[in-house]
Amino acid sequence: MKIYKIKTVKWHYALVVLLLLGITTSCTFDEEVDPNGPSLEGVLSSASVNQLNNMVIGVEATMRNSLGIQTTASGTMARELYLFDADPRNTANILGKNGSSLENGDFYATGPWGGRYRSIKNANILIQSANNTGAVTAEERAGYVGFAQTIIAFELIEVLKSYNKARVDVADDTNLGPVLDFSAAMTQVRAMLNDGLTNLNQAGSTFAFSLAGFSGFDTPATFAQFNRAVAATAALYDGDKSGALTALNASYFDLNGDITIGPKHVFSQSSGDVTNPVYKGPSTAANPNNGDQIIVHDSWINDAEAGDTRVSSKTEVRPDPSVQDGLTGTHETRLYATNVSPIDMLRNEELILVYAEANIGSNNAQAVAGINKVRNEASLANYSGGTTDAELVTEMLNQRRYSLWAENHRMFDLRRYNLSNTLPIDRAGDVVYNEFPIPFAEGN
Amino acid sequence: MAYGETGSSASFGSIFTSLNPVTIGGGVGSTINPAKGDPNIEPETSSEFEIGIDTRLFDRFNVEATYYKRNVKDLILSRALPSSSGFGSETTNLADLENSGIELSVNADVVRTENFNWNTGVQYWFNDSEITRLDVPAFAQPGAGFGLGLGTFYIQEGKPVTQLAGTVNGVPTQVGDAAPDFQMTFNNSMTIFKQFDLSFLLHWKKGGDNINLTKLLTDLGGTTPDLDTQEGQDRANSPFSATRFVESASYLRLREVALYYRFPEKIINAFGGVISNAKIGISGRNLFTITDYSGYDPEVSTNGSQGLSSGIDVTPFPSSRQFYFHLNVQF
Repeated sequence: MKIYKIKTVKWHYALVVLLLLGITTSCTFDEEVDPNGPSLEGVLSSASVNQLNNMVIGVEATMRNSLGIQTTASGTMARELYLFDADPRNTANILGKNGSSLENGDFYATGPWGGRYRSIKNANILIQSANNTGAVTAEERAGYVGFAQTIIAFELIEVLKSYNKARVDVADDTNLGPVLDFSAAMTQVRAMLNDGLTNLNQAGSTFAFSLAGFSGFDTPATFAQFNRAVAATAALYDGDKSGALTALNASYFDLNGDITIGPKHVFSQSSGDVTNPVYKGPSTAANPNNGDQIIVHDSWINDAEAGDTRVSSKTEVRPDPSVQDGLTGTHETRLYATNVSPIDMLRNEELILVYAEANIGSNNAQAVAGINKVRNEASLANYSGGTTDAELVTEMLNQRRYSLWAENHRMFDLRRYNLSNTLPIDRAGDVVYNEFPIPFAEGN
Repeated sequence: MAYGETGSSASFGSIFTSLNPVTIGGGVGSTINPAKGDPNIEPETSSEFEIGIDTRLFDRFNVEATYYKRNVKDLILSRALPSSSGFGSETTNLADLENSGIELSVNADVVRTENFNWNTGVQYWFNDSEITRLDVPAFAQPGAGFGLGLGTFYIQEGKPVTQLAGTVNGVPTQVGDAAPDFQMTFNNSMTIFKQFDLSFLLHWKKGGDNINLTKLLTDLGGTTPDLDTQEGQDRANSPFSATRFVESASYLRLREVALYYRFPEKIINAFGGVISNAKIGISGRNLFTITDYSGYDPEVSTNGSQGLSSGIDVTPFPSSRQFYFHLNVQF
């Protein structure tokens, strides 16, 4: 009996203590982390290796955002192509029809800007998360950061090519830095690439993550070659030709090698993935594509040298010319064979052209060597024209025009050589634009 | 006279900035959600003051009149962010909104005789809105329009929430207002010779603009009806601007007409109590619309009926004219 009584008392005490606990704990809230899925707050501190690697995939995947409109809009402005689809602005504003202007709220302004900065944001989250976790070694951390810095620089160059300006300091979304003009931004991009190289050099022999589309460039040492290839283009665009040649030497540039080597944006039809946005369904005689089309600007066909295989491999004559909004084209794109064909980020062919350009003025014989390599790959004979600087610039730009057709280069090439005003006008009243307006929401 | 207050909280998850799944090369990863969360978001509160009368005169007229004024504080809105931040939009408390309006209604038994009864009702109403406070620079409402180049809903302090704005001389400028000046309906029902019921409803919307982007597309395709006129040619050859596409969408529409014949009692009784009532009739909907609006339908909305997005015309399927034959039997 006695023992039983004591037990009862203890049970009552326990109940009172439990109730008290209930009262006190019910007054606090759980930490606010999204219960329905991964959240930003969840990765910024103490991220796991898996979470970091998810961000790496996010960086790579979003590099493809709005790549289609960035390519077609700049290609249209440079009179390389027309995009005939349901949106009339592709043939009106972008070509300055009847003097219409580019609008800073339109998709061609907001899409590419938002796409590039989405990827940059993911890369900045990756840097912040990698620097704020104990789950990785110092070498692994340097690998994440070096990768992210290289991609941010690559994306900023794409912004500068399209917009001629860029906001570089965007790591803190509540306190954005200023929008910088081209050369101030490019200086910072080049410094970022050098920081990235330093980190990649300290990242050991393997990354803690895997990459898509970077086959052959997926270790710190080989990814550093991509970093230097990007640095070579940055130096060239910055007017530093010797810096470009130095960077080329540490990249995968190969004057006599395979011109297709280089990292690629990859696509698939898997759930959640995207397809190649610059691919358009090919016409057949029985079934012409009269819907969503990329039509080749006639001047690109007519100006080509006879026998240039780039024309026959990248385009095809249509069963009938395509006409829309007073514009006509006889050829349509064959640049990509399928809707999952990869898009090159920066292939050896472009690096050879960078090499040729960087040599003009200091070593014109080597410039010709680069030009000849590209010409020979297109089944053209060696260059036989004059070799003054000006003549070689003309030839180099012409080779870039055919080697890099519809790859988001021509508008920028013409702008940096002040040649945009040499473009043909298709309709009376059309205007040539050579940079995208910065989106309205940027407040600039 | 009445006064009330009510609150409305943000949708669940508005406080979080989440990561979305994304795929490349067979691997699934995370990307920042373009919609930025706000951990400090508060519920919006609205207070409404209403004054009105409801009276019956001479046993024939019902008159209702209401004036209301509704103030919404800390209105929860989505706005575009500078996309260089990595985000596209943010949903948070941004503004105060004031709505005021008048609703009038008169209902009358105009004629009450043995062989002819006529009941008529007239409703009249309008609403004015104004953004009275906006914490951020004016912005285009995301998803409600195609940018300032073609005209869009545009949230701006001191302007109606329904204003349509576009770029004029490089500056975002009000070019229209989707809210009508007023609307009226006129409904009538008559009973003639005891067995015939006739009813119809007229709807008049005065003012209220649409952005007619269908015309942009038909201009481009060369199929706008007025392209053989000088005016049409001038328009088709003018540059894109919001003013080119804004049109008044006033209309007068016969929404519904119905005529029924009720069978008299002696025929009903001939069925020996099996049926209690029977009538036969025809009706039609959307029989005619009088409007200067050049699109198919002034009541168009490309984005459905949600909030701030009506009145944008992009090649809709026109609303159909409908005819019905009725046979009603009650057992």
